Amino acid sequence: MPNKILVANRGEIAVRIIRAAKELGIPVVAVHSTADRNALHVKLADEAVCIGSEQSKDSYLNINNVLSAAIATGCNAIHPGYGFLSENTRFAEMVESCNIAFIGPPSKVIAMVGDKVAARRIAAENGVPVVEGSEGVIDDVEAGLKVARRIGYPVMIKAAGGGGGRGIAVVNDDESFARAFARTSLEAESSFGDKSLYVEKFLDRPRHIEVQILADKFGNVVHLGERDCSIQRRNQKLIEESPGANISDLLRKKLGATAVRLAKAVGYVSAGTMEFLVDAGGDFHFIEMNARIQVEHPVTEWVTGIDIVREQIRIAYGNELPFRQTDVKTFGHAIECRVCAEDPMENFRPTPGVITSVILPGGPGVRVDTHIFAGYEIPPYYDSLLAKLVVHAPTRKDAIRKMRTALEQFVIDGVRNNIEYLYLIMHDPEFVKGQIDTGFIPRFAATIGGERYARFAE
Amino acid sequence: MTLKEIQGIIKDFEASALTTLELEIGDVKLKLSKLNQPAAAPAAEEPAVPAAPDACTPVAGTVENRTCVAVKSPLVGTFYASSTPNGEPFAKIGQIIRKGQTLCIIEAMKIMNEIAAPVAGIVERIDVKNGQVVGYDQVLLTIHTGAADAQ
Repeated sequence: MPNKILVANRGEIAVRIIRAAKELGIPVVAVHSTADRNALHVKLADEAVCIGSEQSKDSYLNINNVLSAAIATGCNAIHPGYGFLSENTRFAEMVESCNIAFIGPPSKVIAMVGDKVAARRIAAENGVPVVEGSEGVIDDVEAGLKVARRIGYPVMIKAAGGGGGRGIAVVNDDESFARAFARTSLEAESSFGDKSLYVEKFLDRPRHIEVQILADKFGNVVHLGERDCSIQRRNQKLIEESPGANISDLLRKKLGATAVRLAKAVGYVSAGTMEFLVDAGGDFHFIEMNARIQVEHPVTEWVTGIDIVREQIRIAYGNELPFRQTDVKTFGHAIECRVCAEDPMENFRPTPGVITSVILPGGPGVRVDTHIFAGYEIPPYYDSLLAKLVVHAPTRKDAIRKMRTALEQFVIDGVRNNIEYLYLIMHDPEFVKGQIDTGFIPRFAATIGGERYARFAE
Repeated sequence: MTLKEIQGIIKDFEASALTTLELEIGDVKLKLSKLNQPAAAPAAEEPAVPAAPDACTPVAGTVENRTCVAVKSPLVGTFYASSTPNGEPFAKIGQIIRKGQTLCIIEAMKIMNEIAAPVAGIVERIDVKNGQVVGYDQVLLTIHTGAADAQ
């Protein structure tokens, strides 16, 4: 059976996957909702199948329709991208049972790491420090309060079936605990279909440092260095960079080795990310594993010269990793800014609409991953990511200068976006000095707008 | 020749014992035939009704006015015109169909889903080929209901 890949996603990542597949000479099938008929990924693919109406649950999350499309068009592999069905165990199982290659880890690994409580336990069992917290799922408010008092406030209540920064509440005292517990449980139920919660210590001004993993089906696992994703708004990443600024070589080595050890322990295959929090004292703690390609993968591609999506495809088709850990060298510094259809002046309200003109920045070391084009209408049903602007330069300061220039030259007319907001961050003294942590955005918001913006950032 | 007259002829033809009927009046050509007859007339590729103002214009895409109803696929799969590989198609051009009558099959993951006619009428056009992969909302057939066009 000749190779053919179905891309079970949309937007910029679908375009990304199509590019990698086409470069490998593999034809692709795009799937789309009725709202995405004119999307770029549909235009770039060799074939396209409409899989449902606008709501994600009817289309991109419609397992039956996605699988039918793959079978009907004769695909022998499916790339799920990120979000949507990428970490859906049932989907991965069904793909496997249809003898189609799932471009990601085996379904049982997805199940294992998708349960955040189980993942913490596996980490602990493998000698990986985890953030202090509950042993397992919290049965009720009383049990939760016990844990909170033991580890000390502030604490975070998190959804066991969650991920990607969703289903999280920060609690400062006993009084707010019960309310937050009930609210998060409800959120978890509706977002992830699983209301179980666990509790973790809320670290003061930690840095979010994650390690990119690549593993083949023969047990070879390598790490591709770390990324600092501390610049987040409401637990959603906004700016990422590699390598992490002000990370010692020793810490870097430890994080890499730990990530590989953990990946081997769960039998990981394909691309994945181990997320850690590094506290002010320089100690690192495991928080979760992401069993998918991530939005911010381009920064790692810049500093390693490795095409991660290409390697995912090759791994899925049974090839060994073409390099060992000693072959992986990093060079220079890369920064990514997520350009979104959001209005920073209106509480980052999403701004769907028609893009009337686009001018992309360019030049050496400037990469733009996007699905937008002049005349494209951004549908209101999906996320607000418009483009990823990723720059690479010999040093971090050079990368910041390059990003400033690129943002200046990046024009998107027709919809409000956050380009100017990102530009301001590129001039913030703390950011430039690399003194960043997950509390950056709330502080930054207070700086640029006083109380008005500080409220929006929490 | 008016649509009413054509409908009258079709009605009479159906009620009769005739299996095929070819009629030419002025510049109007009419070919009618009944299914399951070995001597049935060849399936006409063009519409069996003249291009009167309220007929379904053969354009790609949906035709949503009161006289024409586009039957759209509710799921993703492979379109089959008949229940067996070389069998008689469920619906042929010019055929009169009842509401609820099976028009075709969409095969999805080895399950054969019968697609029922949403309205009664005449099969105006079959918009997909046998064995073609169809997506959600894709127009499969177009049915002419015979209702008068809104002026």
